[in-house]
Amino acid sequence: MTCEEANALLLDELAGRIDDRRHEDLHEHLAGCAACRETAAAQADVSRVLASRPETTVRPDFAARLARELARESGWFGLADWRWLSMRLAPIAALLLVAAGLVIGRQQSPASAPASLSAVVETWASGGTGVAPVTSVLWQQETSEDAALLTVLAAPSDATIVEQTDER
Amino acid sequence: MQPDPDHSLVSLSAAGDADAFAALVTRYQTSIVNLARALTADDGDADDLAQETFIRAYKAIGRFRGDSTFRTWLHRVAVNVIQSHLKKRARRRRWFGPSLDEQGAAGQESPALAAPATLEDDAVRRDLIDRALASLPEEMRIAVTLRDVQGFDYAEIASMLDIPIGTVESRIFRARQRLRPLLAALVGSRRTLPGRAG
Repeated sequence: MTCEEANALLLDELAGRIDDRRHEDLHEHLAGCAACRETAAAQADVSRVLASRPETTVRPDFAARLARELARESGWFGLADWRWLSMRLAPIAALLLVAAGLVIGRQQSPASAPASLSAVVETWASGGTGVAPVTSVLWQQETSEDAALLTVLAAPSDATIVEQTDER
Repeated sequence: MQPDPDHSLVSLSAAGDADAFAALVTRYQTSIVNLARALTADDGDADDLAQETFIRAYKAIGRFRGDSTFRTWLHRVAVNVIQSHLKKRARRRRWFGPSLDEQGAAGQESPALAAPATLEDDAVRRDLIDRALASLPEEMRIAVTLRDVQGFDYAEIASMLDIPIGTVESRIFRARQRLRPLLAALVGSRRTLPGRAG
């Protein structure tokens, strides 16, 4: 076993993760290797010294000062805490949103029903007017094919014929 | 995982019971102050950082999910507070140099050369150990302090620092090797009790 392997085993032993066979291998190596014995001793020595470190005495007023600070934090300073605000104001905000939705809903006039394709075709065939010009829809960037078709059908039929005749 | 002995006090604290939180403070104040003292080697900083730790814990206790024990969670909060302080202190030193207090501490004799006659004094021993710890890189200092001073096991430290357990072991191993010559004066001291080795 090399010293490097022994150090790895030493780590396992210190962590309490070594089986009997590897424990024996390690101690066989330690018996014949002064450097690794020194390493193992250093680990144990330092651990023992640190575990015996005398405790710092806590100031007698530690808890009282902390209680005062916590009272201050959870007092008016606590109002600035966004979590406090969001938890307590969320129901009020939700109610306001619902109320605003109801008011807006009442103010709006009932939406006109969209024209059906058959109605538009009928209007077009009878030469009816009062529909939007073709270009107003065709120039819209997000016009769907259906909307464009409806608009073309609803436009005065003679205008289209004239254009086609001109092209020819 | 073992049942958390602080479970009921934590639940009450999360529900806003100030007395329950006060009981947790009484239970852990010594441990937190000592962790901060060992990692900063400064009494004033240790007290302030321990206060800050409990204030943060109080604010966050409602979000404690019980994935670890409360003790582990609280010490993780403390480590975060202390690491943040150490970063600020390092930045301040880079720009303005050490404070007068720090210069005074640096002028004291090397831990290894402390007179043996004084080593039985608690304050001297503690200061010697804390100054030896202060000589370590921060990551090694935190790992070895949590293990050997605070008594956490490797898995708890790995969870607290969010690093693999192998990294924890390696940091502790290297830290002890570095500390051995600095703590030579204490190794043979009769006050060094047989204890944890591992």
